[in-house]
Amino acid sequence: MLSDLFFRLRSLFHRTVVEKELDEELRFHFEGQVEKHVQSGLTHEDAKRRARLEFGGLDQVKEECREARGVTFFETLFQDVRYGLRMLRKSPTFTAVAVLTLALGIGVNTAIFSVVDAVLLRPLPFRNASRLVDVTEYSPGKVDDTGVPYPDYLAWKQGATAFDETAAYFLIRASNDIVLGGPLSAERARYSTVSNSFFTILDVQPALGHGFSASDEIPGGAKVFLISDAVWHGAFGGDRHAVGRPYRLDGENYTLVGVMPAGFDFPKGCGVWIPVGTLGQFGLHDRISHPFHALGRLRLGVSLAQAEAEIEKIQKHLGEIYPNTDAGWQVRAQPLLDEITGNVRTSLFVLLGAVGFILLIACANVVNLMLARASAREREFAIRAALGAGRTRLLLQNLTETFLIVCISVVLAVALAKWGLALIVSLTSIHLPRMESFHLSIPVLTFLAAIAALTTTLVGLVPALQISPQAFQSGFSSGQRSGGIDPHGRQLRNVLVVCEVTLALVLLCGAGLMLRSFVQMNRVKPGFETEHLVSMKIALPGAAYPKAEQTSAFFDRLLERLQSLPGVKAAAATTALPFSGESDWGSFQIAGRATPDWAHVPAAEGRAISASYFQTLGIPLLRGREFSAEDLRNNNTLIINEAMAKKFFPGTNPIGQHLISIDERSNAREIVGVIGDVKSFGLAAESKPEMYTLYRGAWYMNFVLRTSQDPASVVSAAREQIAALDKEVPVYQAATMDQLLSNSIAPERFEMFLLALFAALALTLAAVGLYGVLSFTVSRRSREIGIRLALGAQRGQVFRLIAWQGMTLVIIGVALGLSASLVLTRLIESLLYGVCATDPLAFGGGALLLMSAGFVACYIPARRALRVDPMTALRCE
Amino acid sequence: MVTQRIDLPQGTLDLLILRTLALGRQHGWAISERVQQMSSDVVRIQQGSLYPALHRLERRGWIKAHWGTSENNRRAKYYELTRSGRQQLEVEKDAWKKLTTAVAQVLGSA
Repeated sequence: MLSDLFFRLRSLFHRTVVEKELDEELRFHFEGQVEKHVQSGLTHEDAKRRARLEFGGLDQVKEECREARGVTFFETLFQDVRYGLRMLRKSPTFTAVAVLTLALGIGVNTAIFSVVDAVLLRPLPFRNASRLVDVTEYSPGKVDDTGVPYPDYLAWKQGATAFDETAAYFLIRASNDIVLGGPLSAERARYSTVSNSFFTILDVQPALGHGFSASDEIPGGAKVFLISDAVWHGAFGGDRHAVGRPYRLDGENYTLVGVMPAGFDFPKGCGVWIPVGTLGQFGLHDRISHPFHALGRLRLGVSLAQAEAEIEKIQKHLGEIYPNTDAGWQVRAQPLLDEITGNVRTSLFVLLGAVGFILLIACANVVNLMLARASAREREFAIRAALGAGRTRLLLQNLTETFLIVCISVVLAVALAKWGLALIVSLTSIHLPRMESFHLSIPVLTFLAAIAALTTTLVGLVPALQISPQAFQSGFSSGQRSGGIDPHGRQLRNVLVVCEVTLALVLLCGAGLMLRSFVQMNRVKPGFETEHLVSMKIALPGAAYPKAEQTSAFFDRLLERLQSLPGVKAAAATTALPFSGESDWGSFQIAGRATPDWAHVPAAEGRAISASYFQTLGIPLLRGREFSAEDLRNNNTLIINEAMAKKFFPGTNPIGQHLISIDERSNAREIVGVIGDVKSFGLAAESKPEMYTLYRGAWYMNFVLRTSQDPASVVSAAREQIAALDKEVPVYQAATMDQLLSNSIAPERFEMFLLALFAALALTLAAVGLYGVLSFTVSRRSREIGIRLALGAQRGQVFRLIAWQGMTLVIIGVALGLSASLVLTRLIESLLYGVCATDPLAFGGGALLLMSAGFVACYIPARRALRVDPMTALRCE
Repeated sequence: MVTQRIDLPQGTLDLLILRTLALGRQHGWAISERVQQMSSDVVRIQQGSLYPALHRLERRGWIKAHWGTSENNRRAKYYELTRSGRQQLEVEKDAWKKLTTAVAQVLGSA
């Protein structure tokens, strides 16, 4: 075996030497024969002639020897490669077009796949990440509420055998931030309350300081917290001595015990972790709130389904013991990766499908190109076949040429993918989870190789199948060009064009739907006036403002100053700004109603505002009145929004009713007014019930200013005012409301943009393909056209002949595309807003666009057909 | 003189070459002469089939080649059997015997 390989390698690399040796050997034999004949009496000349006859074809012997050496395959391969390169150089336009088309198709595929790889395929950076499972509860009736109460988690922990370790973590919805007063600046950070096992299950330890101790899990233990590396560098300036000192967290003093290693920010960009002990006795036994998720590591051999079933059983049992709080909640377990990337999954797959279509269209185009080229090379193939080349040999040669083109395209494609992805990300400023930049990882390289192989096979084999030995005879002998169109080839070309048109239409319909959905979303009224609105956040450091009155006094003074600034028409303050994702969900009781069981206790978003808030934002007052100075003194009033009125006071007048919030059990507030709904959580989201109170004691605040001039100058003026009041107070996240609004729909905009881009690409490729096929047809049929014209056909008839040929293909493609779209667009239903998956406007628009592009593509070659001069066509043979 | 050419059954060429080389190392021409001689002029190996066969056998490792000087002081390529070649010779001789006995049996019986 080894000697065989050796032999072949030697024959391959020492070809000249081996050839010389063969030559010498055969010559020796030849001379031996000559000698023999001379000795048996012939003359030298006769002997030589005799020997030559006996020898037969010298070259054939050599050829057979070469074959016996077993390296013909490689030798022919090298030959083919050299020949292929030469042929490609000879037709630079063809090569350029083919390479560019394929580079485009392969490039977009690589780009999207690299995103899929980074986001969906790459394993999480935790130990045994594949066995990590996220478990949560959900109530089938309510869509928005998912989560696990802490006591339930404890019950699961005790009862479940499916996991060898479990942890609980507070999962951040929208963005539950906590305000942290660091030494350098106050910062708003995401936080999570976690059990101690959270760190062991994920196998991370603090890089600085130490983690939580067992006593921290017990309520009443020390108030400690951990921060992420990013927060450490931000609010703490990377100061090592910051560890061990107390800081203001959410208004209370917590001691910083450690800093997590760089890069760790689970869950969802978390910056602060606090132990479960901080929940207190009430929190640890709270069966009503569902703020946690459970994390578990499956035991070896246990499947996800088994674990889910086991927990479901425990939960059912809990439902029986505590019917008021736990009944009706079901369990959902999914791999941790799915939980993190959940909602991006569908979009990514849709994009992957779209680029797959583009690749197919690109391949179809190149196949058509090759078919056209093959007809031009008919004579060459005929000669080669006559000289003895088998069909396989020609196929191989074609494949090699294709492979060369694909290789060049791949190199271009990688560059295109890297550059294109960076461009798109910068244009749309989107941030996908787990995605940093284009990465040529092993899965991506494998994908690239697979795509290259697939493309080579598709593009190389399909035209080669057209090559048949019979066609050669006719091609060789006829010597004419007109009769040369192999009807088989034309059918194939037409089929390919129809396929391209179909695929392009499906993409256009999809993009059209996304566009309509985006437009619909943009049309949604946010519920307030968003123009000329500027906002900024302020947090008061706890050391300087320990008392609630001090913070309120500061904000009051600041509000006055801001209102008097030139260019500011109105100023207001609020603890939660619309479109910022901030949420403060709290439960309450309605006075005068029977206390509902704890599973149905009402809850709403709470916001603390200044009296000028509604007017500044332009939120309409529907019923009752706004806050007055007396309300400020007594602090016992509440204003609710319409959603809350509808939900909790259907059919009755909420004005005059009293509410007791869970945070202020002693204060029964009277509802004095109802204002219009605001889409605080996004244009596509439902308005949640909201209750507004006048601020008192909040130590962080958003200030909103309605400006009459350039927002930037107003912001700097505002900063000056704040600095004038207190130099130490930091101001951050200054933004216009338009920016915030735009950011809130950034993901949808990104998707729409990408899909529209891909649809445009597909359309262009399909149009180019159609144009190419028709041009080719015209040039091939020029003789026929000439004859028709000579026989008296009108120019218009000729035009219609060609154009109709093209448009038939387009119409068939559009029909097929519409039927395919009807089925396929259901897949993106979850991504659409306000539009059904078979929206006729989108479909109609797509079909119209495609037909127009098709018509333009047909027009040019048809016009060219008109310019055929019958005399030259007839004369030219 | 027209000699009747009998075509060698497939695979016998390898056997003949191996057999010849069992007698000692020789170059290609000598092999062809020897076979002709030993078969009393019945079997004449054509050069067109001899050299491809030799290269094939060399590739399979049953014979090995080296360059040397011939009787008349010319450079020639000499072949000799390798150990596996010797084994292969035995195997093929065996197979040949079995085949010919079987064929003779079939022809012999009525």
